[in-house]
Amino acid sequence: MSVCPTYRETGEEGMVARGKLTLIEAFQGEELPLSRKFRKLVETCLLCGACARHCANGVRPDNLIQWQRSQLRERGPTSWTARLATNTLEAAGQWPRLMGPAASLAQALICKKIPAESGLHLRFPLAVLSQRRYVPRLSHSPFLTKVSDRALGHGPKVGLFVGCVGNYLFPQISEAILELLGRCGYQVIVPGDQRCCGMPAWASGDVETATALAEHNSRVFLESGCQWVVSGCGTCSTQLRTRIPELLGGAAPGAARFFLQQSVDLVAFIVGQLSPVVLRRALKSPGKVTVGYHDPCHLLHHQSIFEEPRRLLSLLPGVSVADPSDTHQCCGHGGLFNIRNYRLSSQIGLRSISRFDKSGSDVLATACMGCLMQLQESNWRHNAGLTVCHLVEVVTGRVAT
Amino acid sequence: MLVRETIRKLSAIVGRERCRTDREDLICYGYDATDLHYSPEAVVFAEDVKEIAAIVRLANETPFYLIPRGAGSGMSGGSLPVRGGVVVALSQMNGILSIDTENLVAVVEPGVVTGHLQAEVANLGLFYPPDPASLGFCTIGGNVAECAGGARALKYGVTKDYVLGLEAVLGTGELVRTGVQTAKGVVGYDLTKLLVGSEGTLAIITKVVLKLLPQPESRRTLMAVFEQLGEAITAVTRIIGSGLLPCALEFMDQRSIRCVEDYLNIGLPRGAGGLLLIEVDGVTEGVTRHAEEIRELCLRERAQRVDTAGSEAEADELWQARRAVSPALFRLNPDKVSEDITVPRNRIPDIVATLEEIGQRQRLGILCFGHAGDGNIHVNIMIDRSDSDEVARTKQAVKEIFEATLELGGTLSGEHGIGITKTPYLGMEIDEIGLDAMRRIKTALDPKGILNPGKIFLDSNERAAVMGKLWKTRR
Ligand SMILES: Cc1cc2nc3c(=O)[nH]c(=O)nc-3n(C[C@H](O)[C@H](O)[C@H](O)COP(=O)(O)OP(=O)(O)OC[C@H]3O[C@@H](n4cnc5c(N)ncnc54)[C@H](O)[C@@H]3O)c2cc1C
Ligand code: SF4
Repeated sequence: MSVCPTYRETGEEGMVARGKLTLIEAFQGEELPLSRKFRKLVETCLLCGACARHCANGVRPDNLIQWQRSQLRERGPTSWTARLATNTLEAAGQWPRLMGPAASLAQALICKKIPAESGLHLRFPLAVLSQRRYVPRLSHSPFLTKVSDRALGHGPKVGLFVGCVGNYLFPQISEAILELLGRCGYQVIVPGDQRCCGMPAWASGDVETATALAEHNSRVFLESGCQWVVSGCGTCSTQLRTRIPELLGGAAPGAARFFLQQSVDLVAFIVGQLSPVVLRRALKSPGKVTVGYHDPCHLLHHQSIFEEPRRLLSLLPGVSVADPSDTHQCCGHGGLFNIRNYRLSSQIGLRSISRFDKSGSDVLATACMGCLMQLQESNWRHNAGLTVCHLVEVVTGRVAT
Repeated sequence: MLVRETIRKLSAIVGRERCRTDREDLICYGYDATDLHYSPEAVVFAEDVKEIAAIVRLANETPFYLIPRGAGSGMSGGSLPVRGGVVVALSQMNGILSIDTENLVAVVEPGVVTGHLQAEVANLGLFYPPDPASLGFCTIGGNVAECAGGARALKYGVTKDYVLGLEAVLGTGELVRTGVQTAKGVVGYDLTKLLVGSEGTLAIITKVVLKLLPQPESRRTLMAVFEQLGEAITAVTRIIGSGLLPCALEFMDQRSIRCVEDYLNIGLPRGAGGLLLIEVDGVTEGVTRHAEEIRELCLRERAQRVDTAGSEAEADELWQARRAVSPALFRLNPDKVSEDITVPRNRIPDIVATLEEIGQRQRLGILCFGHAGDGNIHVNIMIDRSDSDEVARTKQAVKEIFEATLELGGTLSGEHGIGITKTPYLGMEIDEIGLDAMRRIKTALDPKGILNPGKIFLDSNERAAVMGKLWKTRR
């Protein structure tokens, strides 16, 4: 309760894990009929995992809520966003379908470049249609069309999982990751046929698509012969490390084990593998700046990654790390949550950006592409004037000061 | 039953969006931190005192019941709508109206989360000491209504020691302002203290004036492990007797220590009979010296081991053991019956021995931990509610525990209040004259019995019904 971002904004019992679990129990016990309100409440959860991490009794409300979503999905989605999710996600691997009257020229242009199963698909048709939003410019050439199936550099082999956002929206970040891994002494393999990590599908209850993506990605990476799979997006790395083993556990125990043990978030990977001396040589300081670091829920709550990014920043000469006095605050993105509950999502975003605004940071860095999109939008909406970027852009000296 | 007309009138006061009758809301506002559930007929989210006054007046005219609710974290069922009616949710009235750094006074709305207030005043170098373990989510209004306490009560007192004044709507719908905005004040009866701890039965609190302190300069935590619980408690008595006043003095008994060690594997000696967690705060030199004195004193009282935390992180590690008790308990059995009796500090060994005896006789696992400094003991009986015989033995044990507590000069509840879960036992502690005086106060401030009915005072039928709910077996 103390940690639930949606409860913090609304103060409503139906918004907090305890309320949702009670409602799910009532619904399962047939004391509560299926209603729009129930669906809405089940959808209004960021799956941020804060409640699970703090639960004294080891309950995983986020997983139960996701499970309820998958159950509801079987009974036919009703809300238009959920329908949209179903449409796009079910068409995994196929060319995108146009989505009824919502289709517009802009949408069609964007959709053409993004495969149907990508989580991004769910954002951009809407994002472009809505004037209120900050939309990052779509890259002309996705990262994977430029760099794929090539082994870059020398050393132990690391497979790079790029992720939808890293591919279509922020290829420059993916390039920075390549550079960093190279400087750290790794040979980087970027399998060209990799797809969406499957988190958006999983989170909206579409276990089938998530499983199909897990199978595909695990095959592609296992065949690539890499020793580790690394991702610079906290959401993707969580999906790879925790969900792939869950989804494939029974069917493909070998792949499950590989992802459980060998897939790692970029930041945790380099800090865990390399000594400070080696790291210091590999990193490039952006010079004198104050950097605030936003903990992505997928790193903090799902993977307990807290020290590592801070340690990286502390190795950069000239960089001071701002430490907001209050506690961690989810950015409010939550993937589809941001679309389904736009107002609430922005409210949460405001709270998270203003922590850093007040703390005197020039740069706000994070390590998850979802957070990055949300923080950029919050920064823009609330005129916070921060430079919002990926941590890897800071440690490769790319952030302009 | 509320008629449609009443709902319409409520909606007219707070707006349609904040007046709810959906099944989902009725389910979510029918429980608190106890395992009990009662459905309200409507939920209204109040945003200011005018709305609340209008709601209470409407409730008097109609009539219907009103149940004030903060975060619903109460452990005694205070916010449960036992007789139906309308829940008045105060969680959205959560503004911090002012923090006066010169006079050390804060004025807040009742829905402010205790921990948020603490963080805000800490940013200004100030300190709001009451620290119930639920501070991350419970509200100041709920704290005032229950007179919540916490680990720091030994040195800093409980909520009532920090409430200077209140604004509240009485059961009649009249607005009352009590108390002062100054450090002292003796004008008239102390209505502030009357409303503190009144569990929402006399008035709905709409504004709270709180006393603040300067933030202590530093803090140090120690953990001492003893072979016998008796030795640990003697150490507690010695510490306080020697003029040292730690801000926290928590203890755990042998079963709790084992349970935590099995859960966390942090190297606690499983054979140890008692563990103390001690925190001192104040000016840095004083803190260092006092921590050292306490360490020596514990060793003199035959502590097997004393760890002192050097940093914030180390202190956190030490507290980990204490914080882990509650979750660890559920590894023993699926259901918990927990009481928060309080005895005079030096009677802790006596009550612990009695608890041990009762546990053996009734074949129950009883674990104790809590605030040794002020004699407030959390007694936890871990049971399986699907076992009807075990439930019956637990019911008997609880009664015996209360009897023993009162015999030692103690009280049934140190923090959690009466609500409904303790109502059947109230008569054990307060005699008929005392109860009658309380009833007369209730009638004076809430003549129609609108506010939070079915709490504290019950007739014998209701008492039987509550007992039935409390001690039901799970199918
Ligand atoms: C994990 C956990 C740990 C806890 N630890 C402690 C502890 O260490 N110490 C302690 O003292 N308690 C503790 N509690 C109990 C509980 O948190 C406190 O009693 C707290 O004060 C309740 O606050 P609330 O906002 O949740 O109130 P609620 O539970 O919503 O209400 C409690 C009572 O206050 C009344 N009320 C609420 N707001 C108002 C208002 N504005 N005006 C009038 N009446 C009102 C309600 O009608 C009800 O009778 C704990 C509870 C939990 C779940
Ligand atoms: S996962 Fe996050 S948003 Fe969802 S209930 Fe838990 S804390 Fe709240």
